Amino acid sequence: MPVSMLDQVINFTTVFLGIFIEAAPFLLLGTVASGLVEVFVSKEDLSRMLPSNPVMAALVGGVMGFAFPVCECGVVPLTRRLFKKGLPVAAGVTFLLAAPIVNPVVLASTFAAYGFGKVLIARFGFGLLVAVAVGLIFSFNPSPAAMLRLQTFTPGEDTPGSEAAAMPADPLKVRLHQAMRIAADEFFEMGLYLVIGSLLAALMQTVVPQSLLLALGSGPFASVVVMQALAFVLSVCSTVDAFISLAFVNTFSTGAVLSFLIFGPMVDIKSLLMFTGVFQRKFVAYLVVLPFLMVMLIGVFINLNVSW
Amino acid sequence: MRRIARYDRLKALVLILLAIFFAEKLVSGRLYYYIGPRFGWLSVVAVGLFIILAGGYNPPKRAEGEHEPAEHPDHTDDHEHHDHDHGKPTLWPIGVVALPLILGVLVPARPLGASAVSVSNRGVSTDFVASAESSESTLSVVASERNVLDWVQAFAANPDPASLAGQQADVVGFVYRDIRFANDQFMVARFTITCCVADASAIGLLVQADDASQFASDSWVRVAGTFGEGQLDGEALPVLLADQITPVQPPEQPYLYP
Repeated sequence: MPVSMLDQVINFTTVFLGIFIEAAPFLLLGTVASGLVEVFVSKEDLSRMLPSNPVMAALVGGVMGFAFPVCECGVVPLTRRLFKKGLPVAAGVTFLLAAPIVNPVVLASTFAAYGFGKVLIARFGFGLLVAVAVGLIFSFNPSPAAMLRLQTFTPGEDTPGSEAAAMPADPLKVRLHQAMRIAADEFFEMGLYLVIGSLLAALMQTVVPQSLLLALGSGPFASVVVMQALAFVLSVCSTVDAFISLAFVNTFSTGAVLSFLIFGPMVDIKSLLMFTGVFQRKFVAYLVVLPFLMVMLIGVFINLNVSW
Repeated sequence: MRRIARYDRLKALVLILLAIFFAEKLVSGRLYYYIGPRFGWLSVVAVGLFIILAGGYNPPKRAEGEHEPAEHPDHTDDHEHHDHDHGKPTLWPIGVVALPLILGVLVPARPLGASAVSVSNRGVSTDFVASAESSESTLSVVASERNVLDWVQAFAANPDPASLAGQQADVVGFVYRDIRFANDQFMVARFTITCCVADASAIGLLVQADDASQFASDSWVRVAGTFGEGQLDGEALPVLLADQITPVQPPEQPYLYP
């Protein structure tokens, strides 16, 4: 059946709005958390709470995921804010990668989809492992500040939210107002990446047939790579990707489904674009390639050596 | 300063419009053209947060005599100036964030239908891989109440083209055709989604009827009939031999949820 241009535009718009409507609430929650951190957590509080040892810092970054129920959209503004507050790079990178997996909402949705068992345990265990490993690798960089694009903070965001403006002496109402103002500015900054990422994801989905990807994906190696590519392209929120992966359980190996569940929350089209708002380009590349390779190794290893 | 303040008002406006956009989708039910109903509450949260964040651009009310926080002296220091030069308070990022609004208003809202099957090139599946639990629950659905997804799952649970033969069905879906179909055939199809339309995939039942060609592709129909054994492009499949096909309005929930 020939498809008219208009039909294509309508379908593209529907998929785009679907991704945006589903992701926007999570981005809002993330920016609100970020605004509250800016106003209510001081640099001194944070440095007192965090270990200076990179290994410990990375572990703390991973555990922090449990405290913040954010997915891959919300975690980016929050991590950027924590970096600005002086969070060590190892902790921040680990938090960025681990939080979309290691959080109560994702735990609940994975449990709902798979029950308590190997998929649940492997998803959280290996997810944490990869996040900590990447965080440690980043901590080897001698000048961590050079990796970040903190100078991109806009004046509108910096000014009312800076420590000088948000003195603890201010009444709670004023501080809350400031937090919302910061969150709103950040929604626009990060929303830019979310919208462009959703547009790209919708475009990929209307151009690259899913059936083509799935046709490529047999064998212990190819199936893992295909499921990672699919997770990247679909760009669905980590809070619901467990349900989506159910559709692939019978066609794909366990290692492949697990690599979908571990890699997808860490990196997808929209989070990749949001990373570019936090890190210098070169480090964004590391942030994509390192998790990709590690998750690939884990997936292939499971396929070859574990008879699940 | 004045320039930034002007963008503040614009940003507040965009946030309010986004709140209205989400609220309208919720109230009209068209939200479910985009996401599954179990995530509807998230859009309610979004409406509230959009409004709260828009309030962030409201100048704080202070007792008279107190200075406004925005007048803090650190505004003019070098650091701020540096930021200002390379800063982003330009118009276009706000325009990009407003893009969902613009597209949502200009492009008619329509659930995915037959044209999306062709666009995504995914084809309509007559087979559906579901977790063991959902197949069991399907088989407990009374035959006359089963929808397209239930029937496709029933066939998947027992993939013998004759397994459904003789059973009566009454289903609603959109008409889908491609080059494999004979003149007296089409597929009554639905999209299934898990979280949002980004993960939509199409499933369908083969329908055979003398008047099949009268029903336009992508139109919604209700098909009542009895299953028999049939063939599509050389592949043996159950076929719904239609007694009656009636055009219907698209259902309020256009997708099915496995």
